[in-house]
Amino acid sequence: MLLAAAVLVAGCGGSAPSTDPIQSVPTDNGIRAKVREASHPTPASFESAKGKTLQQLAQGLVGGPTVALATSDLPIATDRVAFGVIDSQGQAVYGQTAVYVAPAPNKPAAGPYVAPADVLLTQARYRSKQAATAADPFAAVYAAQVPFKTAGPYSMLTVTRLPDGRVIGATAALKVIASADDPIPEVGQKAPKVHTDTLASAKGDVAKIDTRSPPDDMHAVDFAAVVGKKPVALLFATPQLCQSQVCGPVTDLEVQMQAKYGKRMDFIHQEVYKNNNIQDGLRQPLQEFGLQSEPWLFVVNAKGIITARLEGSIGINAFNAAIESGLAKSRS
Amino acid sequence: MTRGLRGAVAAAVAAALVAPAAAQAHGLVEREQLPIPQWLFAWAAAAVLVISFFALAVLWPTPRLERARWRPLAGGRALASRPLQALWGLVGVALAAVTIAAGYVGSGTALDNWAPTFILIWFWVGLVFASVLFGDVFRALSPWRAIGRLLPSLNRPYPERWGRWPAALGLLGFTWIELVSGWGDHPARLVTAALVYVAAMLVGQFVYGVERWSTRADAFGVYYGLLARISIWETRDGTLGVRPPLTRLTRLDRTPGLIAFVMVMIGTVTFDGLSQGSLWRSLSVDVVDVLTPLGVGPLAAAKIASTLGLAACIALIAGFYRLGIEGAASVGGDRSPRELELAFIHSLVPIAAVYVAAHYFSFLIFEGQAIGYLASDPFGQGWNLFGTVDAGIDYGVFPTKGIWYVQVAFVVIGHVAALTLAHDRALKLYRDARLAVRSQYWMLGVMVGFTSLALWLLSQAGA
Repeated sequence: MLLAAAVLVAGCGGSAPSTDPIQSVPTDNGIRAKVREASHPTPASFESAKGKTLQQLAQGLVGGPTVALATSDLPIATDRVAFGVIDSQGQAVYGQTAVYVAPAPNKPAAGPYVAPADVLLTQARYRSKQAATAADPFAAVYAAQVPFKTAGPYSMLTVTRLPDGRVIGATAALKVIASADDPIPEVGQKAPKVHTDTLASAKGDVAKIDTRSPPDDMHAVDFAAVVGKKPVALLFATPQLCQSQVCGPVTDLEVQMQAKYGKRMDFIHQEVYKNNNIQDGLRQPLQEFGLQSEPWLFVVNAKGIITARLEGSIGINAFNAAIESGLAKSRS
Repeated sequence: MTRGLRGAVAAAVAAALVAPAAAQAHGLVEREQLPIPQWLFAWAAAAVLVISFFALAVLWPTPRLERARWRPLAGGRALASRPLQALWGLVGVALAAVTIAAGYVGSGTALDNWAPTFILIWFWVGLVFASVLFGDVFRALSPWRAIGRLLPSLNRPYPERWGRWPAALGLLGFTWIELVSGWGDHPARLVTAALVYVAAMLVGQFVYGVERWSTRADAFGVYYGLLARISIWETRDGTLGVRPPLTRLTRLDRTPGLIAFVMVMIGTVTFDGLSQGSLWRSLSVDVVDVLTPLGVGPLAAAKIASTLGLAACIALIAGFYRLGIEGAASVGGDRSPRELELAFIHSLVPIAAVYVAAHYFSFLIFEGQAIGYLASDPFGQGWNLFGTVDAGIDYGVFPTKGIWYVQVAFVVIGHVAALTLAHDRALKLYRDARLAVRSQYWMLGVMVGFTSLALWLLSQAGA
C-alpha cells in the first residue's frame, strides 16, 4: 500500500532532491545567496594586472580581512591555491573573488585568477556529529588555478567584491616549491604502496582508527591491497584532532562521495595521529607519504597512478573532480 | 542480630559494593559537565530505591497490583474491531514490504538505505517506547501475524516444553545480528535475515496456529508483548480497556524459557553498553590476540570475542538474578529458588524496558531522525516523496545535558517499578508481610545492582 502510495506520489511530482551543493549552505544572514554569488566569479569583474604591482592593484581596496590559506607549501606542479577570506570578526567573507600573484608586492603582478567559492558543507545526511554541531562552520572555500612558472616566495592579493558594493583586499605570502624539493608524491606518479589501518588491523575496534562521530565505514580495505587494482580515494584526516579544523567537513565529503561512487572506487579514511594522540606523532602511512599536515586527499586510478592530490579545505566541486579524475584515467 | 536484619545488612553491603563505586570508577566523569557530579546521580538513584523499598514496606501492606481491575474503554470494541485490526495489519505488511524491497534495491550504503534505520532504530527501539506507552502495538502491526491470519493452519498442539525458548533463541539471534555480525552495515544481508525470519514465523504459525506461535515462539511477539504489559492498555474479548500500569505483568504465565528470555532482554543491552567502553575494547583485543595465532582472522576473532561477551553478559545477568533469588529463598517461607525465580521474573520486565529506553534514547532521537529523509526516497531512486530528502540530523533537538537526566530518570523509574512489582508479589506469595519484606532485602540488592550496572553501562559510552 505504502509502496503504491509512494509511486503515486512520485508520479504526481514530489519535489526532486537537490543536487546543487549550494542548497547545503544555511540561509541564515543571507550566506547561501552570498556563496551562490561567490561561486560564479567572472574575470571581467576584476581589474587586469597589466604590469601593475600588487601594491598598485591594492590601492582603493577596503582593507581589514585576512587570508587563511588552506594549503601549506605549494608544489610548482600544483596550481590550485585554496583559501578563505576572514573578516575582523572572524567570520568568513563571501563574494566574487579573484587572486593576483607576484614575486613581491612591488613587482609586476599576474592575474586576475578567479577563485570560485566551493561549498564545504555536505548534504545534511552525511554530516558527522562534529560537523552538525559546529558553530559557524565554514560554508565554502575559495580555490584559484594559478600557473606558477618558478619556485620561490610569492605575494598574493585577494580581491573580493561584496554584495554591498565594497571591494575588499587581503594579502598572503606563498611559498612555491620545486618538484625536486617536494617529498609528497605528485600527480602522475605511482602511489606508494602503504598499508593503511583497517578494521581487521584494529582487531575490530573502530574507535582506534576513526575519530569521526559516528565512525564512517571506510576502513574495510588496506590501501596496499587494492592500489593498482581498483581506483582508490585515500583521505588522511582526523575529524576529532584536526589541527587545521577542516578534517571533519572533508571526511564528511568523502562519506558523501562514497555514497555516490562507492561501487566504482574504494574509499579509505586513514587517521592521522598514532593512538589518536597528537603527542604520539604521525601514523606510519602519513610518514610514508611524506605528509606533515592534514587533511590530504589522494585519488589513485586503477593503474596505481595518482590522478589528484589535494590538501586542506576541499570543496565539493574539487572533491568531485578529483574522484572523476581517478575514474576517467582508469578507463583509458 | 535477627535473621531479617542480617539479610538486610548483607543486601545493603552487596548493594554498596556494586552501586555508586562502580559507577564512579569509569566513564561517568568523562561525560559532559553537569551541575552536580555524576557519582552523585548514582548515589541518588540508589537512595531513591532504598527509600522506595522502605516506603513500600510501610505503606503497601497488601497486594494491590495482583488484584487490579480492568475496565473497558468507551468505544473499546470499535478500537479493537476486525476492520481496524486488518488495517493495522496491512500497514505492518506494507512497512515490511517497503523495508525488504529497500534492502535489496536501495543504496548499498547503510546510511542511505531505509532498511537498517527502520529495522535497527524504529522497529527495535521505537517499538519499545510505543509498547510501553500504547500497549501491544507490535501485535497489531506484525506483518507475519497479519498474513498468517489469512492463511490456513494445522493448529497442532504447541509443545509446552518449548515454552518461550524459541523466542529467546530468536531474540538472541536478532541481537547477535545487531551487535556482533556487522550485517547492519549491509542492507541486503539484513533484510535477507528478516526474510528468513518471516518465513520461519509463517511456517510456525501454519503448524501451531497464529496466536499460540505469536505469544510463545515469535521473538518479537513475546518481546513487545512483555513490554506492553507495562502499559495501561489491554484488549479483552475484543474490547480495548484500561487497567493500572504494570498490573498485566502480574498475570504473566510462567512457561519454560521465560527466565531465559528476560535474561536475553537485559543481557544483550548490557553487552551493547559494555562494548562501547574501554574495558570491553581491551578485553576484546586480548581475545583476538589469543585467537589470531590459531589461524582465525582478526575480524572473525573480534566477532567471536563479541559473541562470547554477549553470552557472558547474559550469564552475568542470570547469575546476578539467581543470587538474589537464592538470598530471598534463604529467608524462609518454604519456597524453592526455582519457584521464586519464576514468581519474580515479571518484576525484571520494567528493568529490561528501561535498559533499552535509557541506553538507546539518544540513538532514537538523533539517529532516528534519519527516517525522515529516508522515507522520501526509500529505494534510492532520486525521489523526494515528502520533500524531506535534503533533511539531516538535528543534534540540537534535545540538549546533551538533558539526555543524562532522562536516562537516569528512566533507570530510577524502571527500578522502582520493579521493586513495587516484586514487593507486591512477595506479599501475595508469603502472606506474611514481615516475611515478604525480609525476602525483598535481597531483591533490593538485585535492583540496586541493576541500577548501578545500568548507570555504569551508560557511562561506558564516554569511556
